Amino acid sequence: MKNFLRTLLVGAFCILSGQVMAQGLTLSGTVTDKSTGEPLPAVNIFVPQLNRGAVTDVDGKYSVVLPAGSYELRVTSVGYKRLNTNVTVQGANLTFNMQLEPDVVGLDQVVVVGFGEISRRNVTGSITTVGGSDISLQPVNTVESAIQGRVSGVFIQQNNGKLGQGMQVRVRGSSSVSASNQPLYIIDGVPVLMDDFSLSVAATNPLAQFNFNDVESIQILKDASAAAIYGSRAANGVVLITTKQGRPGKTQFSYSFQRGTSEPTNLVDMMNATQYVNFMWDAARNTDRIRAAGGLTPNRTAILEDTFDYYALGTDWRACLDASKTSILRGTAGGGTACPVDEDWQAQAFQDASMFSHDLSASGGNDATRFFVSGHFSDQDGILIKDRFQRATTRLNLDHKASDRLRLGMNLSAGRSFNQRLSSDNAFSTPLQAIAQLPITPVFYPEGYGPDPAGIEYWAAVDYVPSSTYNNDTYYYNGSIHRDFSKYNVTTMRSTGTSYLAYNVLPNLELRSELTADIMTGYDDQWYGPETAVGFASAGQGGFASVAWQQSVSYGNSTYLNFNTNLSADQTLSATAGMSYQYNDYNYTYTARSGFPNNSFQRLTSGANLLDGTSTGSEYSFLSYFARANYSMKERYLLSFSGRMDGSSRFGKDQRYGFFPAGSVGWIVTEESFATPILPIVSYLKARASYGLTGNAGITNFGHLGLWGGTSYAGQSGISPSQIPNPDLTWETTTQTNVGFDFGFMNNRITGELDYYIKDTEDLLLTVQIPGTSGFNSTLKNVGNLENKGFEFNVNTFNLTGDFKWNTTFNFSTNENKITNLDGQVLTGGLGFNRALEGQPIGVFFGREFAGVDPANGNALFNVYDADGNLTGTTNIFNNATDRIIGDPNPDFIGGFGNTFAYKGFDLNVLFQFVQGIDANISGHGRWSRGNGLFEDNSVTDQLKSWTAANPNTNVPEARYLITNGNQFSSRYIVDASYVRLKNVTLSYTVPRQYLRNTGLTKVRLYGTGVNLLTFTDYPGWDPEMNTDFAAGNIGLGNDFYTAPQAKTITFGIDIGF
Amino acid sequence: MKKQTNLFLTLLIGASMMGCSDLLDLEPQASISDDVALSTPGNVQTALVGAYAQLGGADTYGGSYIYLSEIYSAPSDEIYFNGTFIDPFDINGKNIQTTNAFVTRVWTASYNTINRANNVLSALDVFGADAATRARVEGEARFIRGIAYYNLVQAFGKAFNDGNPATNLGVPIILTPTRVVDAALQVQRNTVAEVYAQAIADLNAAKTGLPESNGFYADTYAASALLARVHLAKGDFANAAIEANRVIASGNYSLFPSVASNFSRSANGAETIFAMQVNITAGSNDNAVFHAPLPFGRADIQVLDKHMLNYEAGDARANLFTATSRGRMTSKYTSTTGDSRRFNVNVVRLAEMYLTRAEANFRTGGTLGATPLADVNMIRARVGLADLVAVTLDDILKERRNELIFEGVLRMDMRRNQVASNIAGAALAWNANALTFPVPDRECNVNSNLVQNPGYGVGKCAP
Repeated sequence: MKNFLRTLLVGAFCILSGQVMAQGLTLSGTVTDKSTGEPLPAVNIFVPQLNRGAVTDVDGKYSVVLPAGSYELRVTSVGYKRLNTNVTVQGANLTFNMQLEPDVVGLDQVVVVGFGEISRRNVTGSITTVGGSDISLQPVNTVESAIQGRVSGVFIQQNNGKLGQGMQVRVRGSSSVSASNQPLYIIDGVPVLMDDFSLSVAATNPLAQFNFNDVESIQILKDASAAAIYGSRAANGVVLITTKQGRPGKTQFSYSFQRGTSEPTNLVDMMNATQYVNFMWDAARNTDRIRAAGGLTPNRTAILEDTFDYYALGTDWRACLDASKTSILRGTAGGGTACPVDEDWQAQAFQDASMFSHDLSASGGNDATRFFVSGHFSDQDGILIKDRFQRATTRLNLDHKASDRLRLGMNLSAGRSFNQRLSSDNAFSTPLQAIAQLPITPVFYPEGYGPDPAGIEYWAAVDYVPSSTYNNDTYYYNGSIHRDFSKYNVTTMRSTGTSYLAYNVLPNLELRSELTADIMTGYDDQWYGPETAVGFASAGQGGFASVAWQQSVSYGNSTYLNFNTNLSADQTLSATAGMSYQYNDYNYTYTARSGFPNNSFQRLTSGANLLDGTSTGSEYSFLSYFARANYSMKERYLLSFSGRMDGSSRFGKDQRYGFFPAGSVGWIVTEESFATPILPIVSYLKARASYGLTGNAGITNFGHLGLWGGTSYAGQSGISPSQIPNPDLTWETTTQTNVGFDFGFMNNRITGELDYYIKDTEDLLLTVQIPGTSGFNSTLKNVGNLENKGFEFNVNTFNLTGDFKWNTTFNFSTNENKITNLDGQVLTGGLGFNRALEGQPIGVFFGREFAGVDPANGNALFNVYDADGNLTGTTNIFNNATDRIIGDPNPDFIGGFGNTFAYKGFDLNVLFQFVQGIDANISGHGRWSRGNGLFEDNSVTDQLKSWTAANPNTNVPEARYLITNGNQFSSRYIVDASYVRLKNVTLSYTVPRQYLRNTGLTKVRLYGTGVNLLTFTDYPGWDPEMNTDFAAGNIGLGNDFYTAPQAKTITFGIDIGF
Repeated sequence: MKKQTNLFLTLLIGASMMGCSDLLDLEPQASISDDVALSTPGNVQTALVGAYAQLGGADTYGGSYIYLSEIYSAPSDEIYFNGTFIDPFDINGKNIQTTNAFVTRVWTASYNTINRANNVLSALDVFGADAATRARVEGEARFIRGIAYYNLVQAFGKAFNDGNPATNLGVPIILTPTRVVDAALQVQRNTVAEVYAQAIADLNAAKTGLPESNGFYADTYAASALLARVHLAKGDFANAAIEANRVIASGNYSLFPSVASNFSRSANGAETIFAMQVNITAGSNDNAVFHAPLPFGRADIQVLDKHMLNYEAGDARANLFTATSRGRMTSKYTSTTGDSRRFNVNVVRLAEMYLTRAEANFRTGGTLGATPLADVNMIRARVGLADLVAVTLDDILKERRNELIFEGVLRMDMRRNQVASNIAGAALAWNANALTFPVPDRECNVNSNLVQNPGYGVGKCAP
């Protein structure tokens, strides 16, 4: 058979002559990198006939003793193309040097899978790999952001532009309605804690402590065959992160520094003072016209006038009124002149944001001991006032070969993050709620103006000269005061580590035992001075401070056997079997006090009143047995089986265990002799299929028990029922079928993968709504089914390969989510308008259809449908309109498009990311700031197009102050949030080596990176990538509630090696 | 050596897997299970405390029962909701959607309270021979359940005098604790008359079983005072007079010299018949959140000039307002000495008993305990107003309104006395559909046996 790969290896080795002498000859030599000529350590040389091998040392040298004969050698090393060659040893020792070609395509990359490794060539499941070099030094906050747009089938969305906050990561769609939808993250074998320690309703991101510059590779296990070895927790996919290991040889140091700035991707166009005052004035006059017609006191204009008098702090807001609108009830008619105060409150939400980072690492060792050490420090300002995130991490990865049979090692990282957090989007103190402030309200008190002076009830013209004291008499709480008189510091310490012992019971049977630990401690330190009482009432009594300590400790053990054998010359079998146990213990302590002597005292010890002091805790455990076998025949027929038996404390005794098997097959067509004629065009083709079960137990602890919790009344302790029992509660299971092709064309200048999958989830762990008349609102039950199916396609091409290199990567994924059965349940989420409904994708927007404006009178109209779903007319009575599906917050397709150009040391990377066919509910700048003047909130300028007799054909209803006219939730506020974004641009210059001679440096690279530089979208808010933090959930998708935009960041850096 | 090593390893693995299933037996640390919760007299009494805690929650007497009653019925030219919090804004505008979260929570929190009371009532046998404790605990639980039903039927049912209460729908009556999710939860609405009857039966049982005094917990007079209110709402004036008179005649209570002494209290006083206890660490007072000025409240419920015309010159109650440059609010929930949200919430106080007795006597032509004129003048004298020489029903009702405004009876009084309200653009008849809460959308979604109130569209449980 003609092995295609061999044709790629022309000139890859030298043939040396020699004579056969006797048995026990030594074959030795040096393995070098074909492109640089440097010796390669840690290369595996395997002689299948003898089932024997060797590994190159620091200098790339190997030696193996064997009897005379002709042998096949299989030579493999991470990042290099596999080399299969033949050698004949006869009569004398032979020196046989080999060269390996760097593997730019990746067919022979080692892919890390659960409890083992496998060559990409032998993979039969769906696994996407991201190399560490693709994401290192990205000026983004977390590892998930760094891989955004780079992997097919994974939808990654940041909740907002606040640093260190929650993200949604969906691998092949949402597979659950109420249980967790986040993938399982494994870092170096440790199933890492994803506990959200946030005390506010907005989640934080537990992976933010992780330094992704340590990453060697990330594997995303998407289908059942890849993930089922993680059984019960793999239904949402598994993200396996492997960190860098030391390489034997001279110690290599690497140091990087970068510095940059950020700004918001976009702003919303709010009314200025003149537009606002005239708009609201008309709105109030319209209301009084209606009141007078209804026989009621037309006093709404007077209310507006009082309101303006108050919030303008005595400045002459009437000057903003058009001269034609001066029929007023109190004060002196003004109008037609310039507004004394015209504040851009939106600008108050943002700050100049800068960031910098330092990274230092060292890697080295000898044949026995290898190490990788790194340290990282970064300090990043958010674009929103006061937002800040600092991260400091250290890592030691150590491997030691104690003997030929015994290896041991550890991977240990310790880190600390410090986050100056912001309030959730739902708090008046969240910076972007500033847009709702009246533009006639000054940001600062006028010079000479005391707070809330007596006597200024009506207009008294005062020229506005701003003082330096922030105005605390604003319509909504002034975020600048919150910035200056509060703190919300969250410090998280995290140590993640694993130590292992690997013992070769037989040369091909390894027993490996890993101890894993992940310890996460969070310290939440809050203080609010009395100045913040307007926004935070509890601070009104001499200030308020609270402290919370939380600790989540997870430890466990995995012990397993790895067995490899050649069943015959062309059959190999590798098998893994073992068990694992994981235990988690969570503890929480909280104390709050009020009554501090002054703002210099911010520690609890100085607070006079103990308001709260509490502690609680919980625990869970998993016990699992697993096994896997991979079989390969003639390097073209591949077969894999795996299974895992999982038990969890989260279920009752009789429902505790679940079994999750999976199987897959693969066929490398291009290894067949009949494929020879097509090889010049189709250079590589593998077909694969898999089928299996995975599970989900991402629910609360003790969800199956009937429970009573503690409460109190008037200093007496009490108890109350908190949970209704369900002893039948058990695993949610997902059955996934995957078929796919791996392909390479034109000598693998074009390679890629195409997958189609169907994921059926059944026995959903559902938070079932039950009648409130029971005294409970919900219970956990295994009810319902849902389905995800979709295509994934990715392709990499080497367009130009000469001095000027040009690579292109493109990925494209669809996912169609459908809830097929909910047992009639109607579940709501988000701001109350997302639903889980049978026959629909999760999270659809459910409400009434806005039918525009009645041209005759300016009333908002809504569609009415009959029972058969036929449109029968419109109504201006909201409660008479019909509820419908009015939007889908799940994307139709997502993807990324990247290009890399390289020329003489210059590299340019350009990555576009796209999300299409996704709907959003604009709420903050929708129902409030696009409510045609219902409230005093400042409006978006598009409300100026509201109905008037002179402008009857519009889709903005007549402005009516304090009369609801179409600001109810409806399709009026459902918009398309599709976007295409220039996610990343990096331009770098690597100084050629010849200039570095005698400098002691091995590498100097200068670079500039831009993140989110351009966004192409029709979205009318700040940024289409959002999901308001306080309402984000499995069902709560696509809601914008004063949700901060993403940051547009530009950094410059230097990267040196020595 | 190899054999030994392998044997050792086999044993190691075997040992590590033995006894593993125990590793999955974990117990919650901050909760107890159903079977323990009601197993001892002490536990049942703590469960009763849990029922009080919920009765005083933000969605019951710690807030919604009281302030929603006021903003839901108040005419828009006297009182309006100034905030941009859309759910209460819509309630004030009588423009409620079935998904209104405040309305939903009144329903769910009330039934949560009822379930807690039902749990206590299901476990009375633990008291064995201790009849006195059993009677008290039963009385308190029935008191709590009775007033929860009264508030539910006020909120979700038509007024007793509106059409036929024997056919108008009230709310489902649940008298047993929920222990399992099954088809029995698919309950139907009972009629308005049935719910009134249940509330009265519960309160009567409470009146019988409760002691003369019981600290800040409900006692027999608290039961009578609430009975007086329920009878009045029902138009049963004779019984209203009897119960009000029983409270007054007990001699346990007296009017404060100053009406203002009733508010922002940390402990019950001479005039307090029953109040929800709120302190710095426990209890809710959302009335302060919506009525009080900054910083402890949101200053959302604004009182307009027209309302002030209701008070005669010299009426001390006209001073129970806080006028700020940011508008005028009632000061009944505003403290000058601390965090307004951390003071007790009155459920019923003695002045209401005088006014109830006066009205009931007037309507029945009786003089139980005192003449209506004497009772009204007693209330007037306290606030610095001259005695009337003769009294009309309107005088009594006006006095009642001025005395009890913002204390949670406005809605009941306007509906039973057939007083029209008005909304943003038009007048609204006393019995308008918009003046009854909708059955919450979430209930319709999970219980097909419920029927929606008229005027709330064509949703799942449309009539």
